[in-house]
Amino acid sequence: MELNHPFATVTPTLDGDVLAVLATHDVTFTTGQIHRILDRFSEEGIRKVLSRLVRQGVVLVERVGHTYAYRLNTAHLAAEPIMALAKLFNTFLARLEAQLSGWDHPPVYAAVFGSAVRGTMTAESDLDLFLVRENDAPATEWARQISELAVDVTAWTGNDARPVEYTIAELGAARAEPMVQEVLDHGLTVAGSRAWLLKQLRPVRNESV
Amino acid sequence: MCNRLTERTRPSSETIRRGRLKKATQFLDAAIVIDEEMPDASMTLLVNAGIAAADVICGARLGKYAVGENHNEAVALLAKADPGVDKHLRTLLNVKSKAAYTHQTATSDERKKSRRAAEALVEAARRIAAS
Repeated sequence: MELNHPFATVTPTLDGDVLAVLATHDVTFTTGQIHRILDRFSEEGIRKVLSRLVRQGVVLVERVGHTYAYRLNTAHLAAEPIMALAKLFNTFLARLEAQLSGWDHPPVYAAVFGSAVRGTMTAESDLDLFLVRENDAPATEWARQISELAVDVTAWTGNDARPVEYTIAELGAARAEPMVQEVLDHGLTVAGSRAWLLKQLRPVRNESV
Repeated sequence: MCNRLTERTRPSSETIRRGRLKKATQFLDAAIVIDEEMPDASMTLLVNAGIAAADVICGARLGKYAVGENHNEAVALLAKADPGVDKHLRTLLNVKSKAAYTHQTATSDERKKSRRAAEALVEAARRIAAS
């Protein structure tokens, strides 16, 4: 799946992207606002989608001055599943957080990074996971946890999970790695504190200034 | 019901959101790095990180972000964009004046709360920008 386009799991059309905007908040949106949020597709295309969704009753329209404002009809039978679909990325992160926090040997730090975070994810993309473990975490047990996580993430999303692991001690040598810097700059933290990671990696960032 | 809140907002774009998110991260990281040696400068950076993150969240969710000096408007807009994270912006804006314009140094409790608030806002901005 494409976590950045959750409705693509059920429809490849612009309708899904428009619904994702409307379903996120119970407020009204003009076509111009939706256009700026999506940052692609023409306003005319968005207007056509909205007209169709209004006919289906799932979107409500009201006139505001010289323009029209649209909102999701939260009383509609389809509203609940639409809102659930719109929140798939958050659901994924919450599930990941819950799983990691339940480990016998939880990571000191973990983050999602790569195409899922950059917004360039495709259905074929790997899901990149960055994990740091305690130096003395038992290797066999840790490997079992990672293996189970990879299986679960693939089951949840359809994408292959690609975990990248470090011990705290190994972070020092890896701090100049572009991938590690990418995690720091753009990663979505799902365990531990990003401030902690920043402090572990700080010497190199200072040197590069 | 009378709509007494006239929002002063500006349209957002992907370019604006990316730029503000980069700054939010930069301010937050700098604040963490200098926290021990320069607590008041760190506090000001935390506030700036939170404001930049709020602009990203509002831009990504509502297509606009708050401008102007009215803190209540900014917090109200953020509450519309992402209910729940507005309390973090309120925390930061409450210490903004003390950190930037008075002779008093931020207390350890204020620093801790501000850091948590800024971290929460920047993480929320990252997540929303990615989703």
